[in-house]
Amino acid sequence: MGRFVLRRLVGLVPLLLVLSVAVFLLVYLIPGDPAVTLAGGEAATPERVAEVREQLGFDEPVVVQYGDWLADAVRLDFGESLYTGRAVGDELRARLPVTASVVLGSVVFALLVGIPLGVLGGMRPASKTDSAVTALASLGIAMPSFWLAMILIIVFGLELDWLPVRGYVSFAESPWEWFRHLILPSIALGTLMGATLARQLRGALADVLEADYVRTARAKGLGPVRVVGKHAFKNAAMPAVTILGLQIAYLFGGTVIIEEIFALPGVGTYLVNAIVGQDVPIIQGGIMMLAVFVVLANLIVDLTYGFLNPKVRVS
Amino acid sequence: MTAATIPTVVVPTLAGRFRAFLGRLFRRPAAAAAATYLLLLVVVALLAPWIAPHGPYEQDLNAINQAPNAAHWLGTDDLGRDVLSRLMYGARISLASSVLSVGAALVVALPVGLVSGYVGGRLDNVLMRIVDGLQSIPPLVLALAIAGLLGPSLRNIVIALAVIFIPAFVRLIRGQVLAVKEETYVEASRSVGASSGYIVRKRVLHNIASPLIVQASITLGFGLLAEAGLSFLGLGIQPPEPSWGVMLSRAYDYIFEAHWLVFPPGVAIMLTVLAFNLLGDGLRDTLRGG
Repeated sequence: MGRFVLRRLVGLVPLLLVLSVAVFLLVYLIPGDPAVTLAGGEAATPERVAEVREQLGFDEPVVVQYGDWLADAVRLDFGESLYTGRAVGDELRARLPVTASVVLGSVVFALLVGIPLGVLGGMRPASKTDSAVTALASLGIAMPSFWLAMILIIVFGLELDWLPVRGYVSFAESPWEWFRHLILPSIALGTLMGATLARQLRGALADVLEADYVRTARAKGLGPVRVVGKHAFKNAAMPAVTILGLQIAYLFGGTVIIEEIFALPGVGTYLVNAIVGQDVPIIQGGIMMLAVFVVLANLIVDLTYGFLNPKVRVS
Repeated sequence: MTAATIPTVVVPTLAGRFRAFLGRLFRRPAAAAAATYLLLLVVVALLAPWIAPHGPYEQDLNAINQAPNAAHWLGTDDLGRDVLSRLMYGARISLASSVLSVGAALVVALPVGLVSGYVGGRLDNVLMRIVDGLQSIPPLVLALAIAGLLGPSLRNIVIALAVIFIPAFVRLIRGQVLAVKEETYVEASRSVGASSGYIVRKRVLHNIASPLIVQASITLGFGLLAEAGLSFLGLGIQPPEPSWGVMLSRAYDYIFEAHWLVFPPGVAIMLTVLAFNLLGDGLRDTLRGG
């Protein structure tokens, strides 16, 4: 197991390097001379253009620029915002708990909904319950998260007035309010993952229940709950774990739009505002940070997978 | 002496095989419904200028934020524009951005995936690392950044979406090539002296078509969602042009005054994505010969 972990960690180095090059080069997508555009277009004073050029190091060769940026980035220094002059690293650190809370809430919601539904459908393939689960999962996958968010706002915020629809309260300030503010965003963002999980688990469980060892367990006289709980679930969970790993990138992408709708002061809102304003240091720093989290989350999924299945460790 | 009857082998034409395939596809109720819905949607989108009851920009400030009624079947928005008409015109832009971006992604991914899988070695290694890197960036965030830095326009949305679709297509094509490369019939072609180009064209492409079509159908749905997301955040299609994402964004601004407006574009997006997914599932099952 130790060597497996080590091999995975070493494998991350080239991935992170490719990632950092891609993120760094994003600035060159800006049409024309980026320094002029970022300084405010044609109307910009030559002094301001020179200032931007200096700040982003545009007068150096690209390789040198990248080296400088990377050297700072590994120390979590992503430079300063072009407009407010505030350090991007500090701002990201301050906003991270908000985004982490939403992502965590979404995963919890996805597991709470996805596992029972998947088991319910998979235990009796082709039954009415199964069809209902499949239909529900298909709808959950097709529904845009931000549309679901709006419906939740209308129903639970405006009509019933049960839950807050805007803003964030930190856990330290009030755990109860923190929880209440996260409910709607977590449902909106977690539905896609929950639906995908239910669908995967349903299919995998239906397959596993056909297997010989399950028939043996049944023949021993075990009830359906013990059969699924003790024998089938563990094996059916393997493909589901893989899917969760793949979905994490979507979850981190989805926070961007969900934070915007619920006015949550997280990394997503910060990033969207920076993209609209073409504030390059924030765009590079924010994307790099989200991507590193995706990589780490995938690593954890990988390791879990290796832990569950010894075969993976040696391949 | 009468000519002996020569037994003839009926070789089905391409059109014939396609018809037979459609027949099998339409025997699946979900896939048939999805295909019919999508066909209707395309017809509506194409004919919008002739069949829409109002122009997409036509304002009636005496009739704003109306609920559905006889004059406006799906109501009116905050400027008194007919929601049904904007939905019809919006289908043009939303479908176009999705179809064009999937097409562009395929044009890039096909050669890259084929070469990566067929040539292998160091080139394959480098290309796969790039694909890994791109796939670690949350797709929506990458699309937002590209569209935002290039500047919002239909062309740039297509570029942004194509970039986020390319990695998965490359991976799929490469995987299929690796699998097909080991098959006996490819080995046989090679042993009789067929060139690499011929093998790729005649043998490999033929076999990767099925999984590619399935993936493309599902990606079309994702493209629609992504366009809506980009436009919702103001980095996609720019108002007053009607796309479903733009309409949803506008509806959100008026969520306190007119709840109703949230539903038409949202339901349209959901149904269309659902249709692309069901069609993808149906195509997969049919192509597998089920």
